[in-house]
Amino acid sequence: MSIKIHQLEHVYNQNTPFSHAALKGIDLEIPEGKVTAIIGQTGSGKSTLVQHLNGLLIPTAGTLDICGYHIQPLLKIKDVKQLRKEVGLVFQFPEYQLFEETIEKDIAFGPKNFGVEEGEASQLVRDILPVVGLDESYLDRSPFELSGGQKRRVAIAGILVLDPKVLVLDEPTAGLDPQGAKEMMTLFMRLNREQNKTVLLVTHDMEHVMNYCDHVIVLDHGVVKQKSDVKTFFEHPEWIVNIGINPPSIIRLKMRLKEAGFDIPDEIIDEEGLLKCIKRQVKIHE
Amino acid sequence: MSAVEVSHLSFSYDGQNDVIKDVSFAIPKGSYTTIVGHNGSGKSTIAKLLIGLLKAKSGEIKILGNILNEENIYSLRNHVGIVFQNPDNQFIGSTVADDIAFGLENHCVPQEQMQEIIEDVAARVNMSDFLDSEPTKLSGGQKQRVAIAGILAIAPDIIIFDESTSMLDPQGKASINEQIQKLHDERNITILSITHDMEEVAQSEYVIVLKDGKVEMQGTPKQIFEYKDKLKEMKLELPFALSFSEKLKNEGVFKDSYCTLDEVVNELCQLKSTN
Repeated sequence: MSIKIHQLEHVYNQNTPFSHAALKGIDLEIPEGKVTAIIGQTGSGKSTLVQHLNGLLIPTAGTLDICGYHIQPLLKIKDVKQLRKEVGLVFQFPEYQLFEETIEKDIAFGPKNFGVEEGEASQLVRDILPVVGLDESYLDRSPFELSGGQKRRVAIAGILVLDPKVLVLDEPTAGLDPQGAKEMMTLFMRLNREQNKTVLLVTHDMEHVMNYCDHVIVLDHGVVKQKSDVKTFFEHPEWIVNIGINPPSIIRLKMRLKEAGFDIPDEIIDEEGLLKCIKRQVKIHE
Repeated sequence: MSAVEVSHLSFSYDGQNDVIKDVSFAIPKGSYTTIVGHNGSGKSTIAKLLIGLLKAKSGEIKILGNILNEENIYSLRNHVGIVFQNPDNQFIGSTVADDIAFGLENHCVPQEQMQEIIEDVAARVNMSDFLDSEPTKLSGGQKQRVAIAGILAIAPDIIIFDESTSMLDPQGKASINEQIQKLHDERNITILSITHDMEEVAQSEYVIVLKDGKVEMQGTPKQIFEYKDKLKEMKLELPFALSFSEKLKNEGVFKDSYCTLDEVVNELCQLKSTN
């Protein structure tokens, strides 16, 4: 089932002098089983939007349909606990939320909260570790003696162990080294392909949007400025530049070369295509 | 004279396992140096050792020719400033102007001069319009610019940037990188930038590559990027401009490789005009 958002509005501090509309008239349909990127500058409303997906925020107007839940203003969500199990939300720097003495206890915290028995929870933890690329030798270690990348894996395992249908990730690779970031993205892609999880990714990294995502949603000052499949999106670099976002390197090179008089068709957004195109237009060294 | 000279530096958090292992390097005065390495390679630990937040187990650190010790640490801090990854961790003032003034007050700068310095440094980082704003209400990029202004006010000879752009959106990042470059070009400040951003590495003059607490390589970006396989092994990536110009080289278009997008575009334009 896709996620349907209709005319959603969120006003912070409504009816006070500090009232501020963070989201206005959002209409979106986010397809099931796909990877969708949410991009936009700082303050564009990305985090406000994703917090609606598991009921942390309730819209001040409009509706949201997700995993069989119909969320509307003023009404308390029935069985919100179950919604939070189905929609796993991973905040920025999730490793700051680690708190238990051992990795096993930290990952088991979620399932236990949802009423899973001790023994079963322990099995769930053992099953989830290899998914995030860790082995059982980590179970009794303290999460605080791990490196940044490993801590983040543990924190994400704490969400994955609940087996959410929808996985919402707020800047999951910020602060990781390039290799760590790549491994993290590969993990999400595998969860998407093998377990058909719907993945929503808030990101600033345009290379990730280009290489991993199926769809892209652009937020700007609380409204949806653009929604498109990824290929069409990068065929229109002006869309990206207009909202003040730096395009991926390959697109920047393409734009610079076009300005310099090279003839490059819109549909070329990959390295191979660009190479061929350049080769046709320059003198080749003998 | 080197701005920073580190010899045989070792450090351990728990007294047993060294996280910095016999590290030596020298940073020339007025240079723009980047330090790269995988997560956990010891980059930030070195930054903290350099400003005396951590105490070395063995080895020595010379700042502008003076060996760092407990007696001169406070006076040497007048010469070294640091901008951390998360600016929220270092705000003190209730307005941008107050926050910039904090460092000046600590350094007993007379009130009359303070106002002038604050206005000057705010202008340098394009934050003049925000002097009365509350730091917490600013965007990530703006906060980081205020943090830089606070350091500039002290006018240190050396500024360390510890992954100062990793939390910013691409535009904020570009604007901070521009500031760093400007500081280096205009005021001849020695810049030491800890980063994962290989595009920034390509722009710097000198690179130190750390692996598991040891210096694995040091040299100019061009020299470092020669060791492609080794960088990959160390979980580092080549900048796009370089990997793309390698491909152009394989296709017989380029004779040489280039580290920055500007160079690639210039070279291609020349090849086109001679076509």
